[in-house]
Amino acid sequence: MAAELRLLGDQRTGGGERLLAIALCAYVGLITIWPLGQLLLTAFRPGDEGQLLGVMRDTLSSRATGRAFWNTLTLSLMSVAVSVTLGGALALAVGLLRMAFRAALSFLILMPLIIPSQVTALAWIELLGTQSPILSPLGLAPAPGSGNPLYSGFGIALVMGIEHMPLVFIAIRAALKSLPADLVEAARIAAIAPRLVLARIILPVTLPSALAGALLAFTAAVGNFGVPALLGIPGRVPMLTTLIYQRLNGFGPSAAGQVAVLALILTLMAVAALALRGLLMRHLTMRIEDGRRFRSGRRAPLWAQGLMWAAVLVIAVLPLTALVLTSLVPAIGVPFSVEVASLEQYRAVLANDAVARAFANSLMLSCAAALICALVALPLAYLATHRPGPAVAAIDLLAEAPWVVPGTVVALAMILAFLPPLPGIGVSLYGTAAIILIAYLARFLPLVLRPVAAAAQGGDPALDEAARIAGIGLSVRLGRIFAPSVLPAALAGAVLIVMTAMNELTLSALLWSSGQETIGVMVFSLQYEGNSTAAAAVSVLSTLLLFALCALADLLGRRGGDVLPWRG
Amino acid sequence: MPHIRASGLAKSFDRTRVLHDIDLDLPEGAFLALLGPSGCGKTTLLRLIAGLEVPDAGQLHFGDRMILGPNRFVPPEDRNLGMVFQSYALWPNMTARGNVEFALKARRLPAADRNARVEEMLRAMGLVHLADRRPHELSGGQRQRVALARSLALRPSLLLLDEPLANLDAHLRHRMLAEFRRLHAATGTTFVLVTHDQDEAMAVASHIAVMDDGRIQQVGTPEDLYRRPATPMVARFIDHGITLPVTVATVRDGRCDLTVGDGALSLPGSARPGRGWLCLHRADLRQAEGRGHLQAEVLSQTFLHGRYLTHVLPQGLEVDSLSVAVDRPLPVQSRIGIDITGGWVIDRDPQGPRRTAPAAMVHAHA
Ligand SMILES: Nc1ncnc2c1ncn2[C@@H]1O[C@H](COP(=O)(O)OP(=O)(O)OP(=O)(O)O)[C@@H](O)[C@H]1O
Ligand SMILES: [Mg+2]
Repeated sequence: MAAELRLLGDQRTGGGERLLAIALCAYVGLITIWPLGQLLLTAFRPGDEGQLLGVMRDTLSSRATGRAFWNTLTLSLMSVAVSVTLGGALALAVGLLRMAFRAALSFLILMPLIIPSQVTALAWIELLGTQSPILSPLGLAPAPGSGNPLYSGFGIALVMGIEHMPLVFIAIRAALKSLPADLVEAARIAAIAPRLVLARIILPVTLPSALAGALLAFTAAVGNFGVPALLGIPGRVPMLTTLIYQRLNGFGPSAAGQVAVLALILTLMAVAALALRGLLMRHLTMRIEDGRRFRSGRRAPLWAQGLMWAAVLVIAVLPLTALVLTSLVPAIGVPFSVEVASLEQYRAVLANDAVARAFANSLMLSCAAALICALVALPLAYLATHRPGPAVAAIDLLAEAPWVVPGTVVALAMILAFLPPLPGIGVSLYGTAAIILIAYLARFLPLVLRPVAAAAQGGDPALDEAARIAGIGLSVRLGRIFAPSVLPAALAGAVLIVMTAMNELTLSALLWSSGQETIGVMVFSLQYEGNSTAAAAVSVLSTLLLFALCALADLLGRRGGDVLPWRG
Repeated sequence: MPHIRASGLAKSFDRTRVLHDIDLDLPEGAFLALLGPSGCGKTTLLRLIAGLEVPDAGQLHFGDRMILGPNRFVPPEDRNLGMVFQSYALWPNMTARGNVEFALKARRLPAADRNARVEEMLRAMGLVHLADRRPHELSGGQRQRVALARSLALRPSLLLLDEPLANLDAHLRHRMLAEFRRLHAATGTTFVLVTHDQDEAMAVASHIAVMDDGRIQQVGTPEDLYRRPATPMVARFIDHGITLPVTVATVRDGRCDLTVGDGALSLPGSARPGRGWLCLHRADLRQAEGRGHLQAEVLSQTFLHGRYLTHVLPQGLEVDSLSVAVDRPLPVQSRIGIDITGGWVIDRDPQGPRRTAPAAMVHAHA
């Protein structure tokens, strides 16, 4: 009794709060801890003849594993180089120079982060393909018959680098925003040349943030599935994520042990980068005094502005334009021209039952995930701030795990946990929409939990205490006092979940079954079947939907604070 | 309200002791001020009484009901008390009326009853015309009144107030103090008010508990604290008191014969023979006609409130300067005699102040 008392809080924790804590522990245990635990158990299973760690030894010694690991490592590092170069240059230019349309420019720079992986990959395939609606008229497209140059390790690194560039951009931009004006002005007064101010004062202060952003980009690259799937599978460049996918598709559950080991390697790579980032943030971040923030008065020279718009054009606008133009072509193989442009593809995909189903499924799954995650995040954040105890702290931390590890790993964990028939009922969740929903619930919970917990931390604890003293019960306190105080954050987080879940491919690629397609799966399989014009049309439709959600989120974000990456 | 009895309450945060062995006995209908310097543990004690913190040891009784003790913890919801927070803690998504009404609604009071009570509270606090405003549309004083109305609407038997006046200007503070006195008389509720302002405490409280460094130094009426301090800390804290080291020769019928410097005099006190502290206020010092009890050298003078406030350095005593009001200017470095006309003598333990204050027992004020 006493131990249980302390585990769930202290004596102040009321009976209702204890029940709530137990329910939340059960929830997080079921959808997060159990599946990830299954994955670990599977990876450490003995071999067929019962050798200790047999599965792991077999998998680690296989040539395919080595190749996929090596590709994942080197291509991720190359993509980070691309992200840092592009993101760093753009962040310095936007942060240090004054220019017109800075907000629009920032939004365009962040676009690659908002657009789902598979759409980005597809857009680049269309832009650089032999049929490129933009390069062909200019005579710059690759010669017919030669393959798409992006179907290669180089292509994967480039597209992932561009996709994750905003992560570096955001990190450096934030560091520049917190740069105190005194630092720069003191140097000016000491008559130090602007070049030196940049090299010796501004860059060192932003370096830790740049490194942190780079490590984040590395984690994202390691876990990326959309780009390697669309570029690496046709190009025969296996990465860990795609190897897991292909093994599971090819061999089914019998490959479970092998892929679990692959997933473990993937997790270790991602977590190592994140741990390094945490260490870096703790030790390298310079303490900067509060005070007036540095605002540059220098206008960007015209050539610099031109260069930036050109870069943004290539990064964000051209690929999407190629995608849109491809979707307007009436049939595969027909070169694009204004005369042939038609909405035929859209008519076709909208009449296609599978596509309609995919939109309906994604919409429902992502909205359900957002709603349930918000409903779980509210009491969890409440308990974590107002009634902290070891149990609540533990699930608060563990709830983060599915977002930290690569999505492929989460999907695999779900298969391992929910493929066997459920005890009692005897039915398997695999092959139903439920398994996708559970994966979404586990993976996206942090997207709403973090902002809600931050809002709760910032609130006045006396609001709840006053209600307690007034004798108001837990449910009324949660509903009428706590929920209103974190509502903007919860809404913004929920919209972020809808945006992310609506277009994700990584989870559903492993978990879908016929009848349960998602938009991401639809794009992927249309492209896989060679129907690239239909894939383009579906991508354009989903991107439009996404922009509509962005606008909604922006509206909510105005009240919700800095939850959204492009605000502020 | 039954009387409130706390014994042996102790509380640590991260192994730092914040409250030591708190004993308190508060009669029904008292108005207690918890007074002490910043960081001495006043808020913590108040939160322990409210049930917002859990003590490491000790017991708490409201009358015969054990609120807190071994294996017993009555949650704040069930303690039937009201609390006004320093930040007021008004619920921002509700109007002033909504704030007052909310807890009554949650307790399912019949609508007619509820409305009557809310109207009564709003009227009593002069909030009728502000009833439909949100907290952010109210001034500090108005918020304060909403917070009061909110806690009093539940008719608590005990009202806890944590520095409720800290954010108000001097004028408003006086008005609110008068308001507290009126409410206290009208409702019969026991009030516990935390403050670090002794004028505030003296103005409203029937009892004052002086706290220092996590201990209650003394509980008593304002006059007790002023005239009969129990510890040197209380003597110095109340109204800029002075303590002079003295030697007590004999004690008879509550009067001590003592020597201060080379002067001898007899004053009331609680000291035993031996080393003692003479506790004084400025009003107990006067320029002597002749030699006086103390000889002192004039350091400087300031003209204040119609008299010359004279700072002097007493001879043969290990104290800093004293201040005494005289009627005429005096040359710097001249010597004057000083008479001590009153004071209170307490023990001076060489091991420092005594660990526990004299029984912190308070008797109802007739
Ligand atoms: N939650 C907490 N965690 C750790 N230490 C705390 C906590 N609350 C209070 N303390 C410490 O306990 C001591 C007493 O704090 P308390 O708030 O009771 O003082 P106070 O007398 O109300 O002071 P003030 O007049 O400044 O409000 C302080 O040293 C404070 O730092
Ligand atoms: Mg306090």
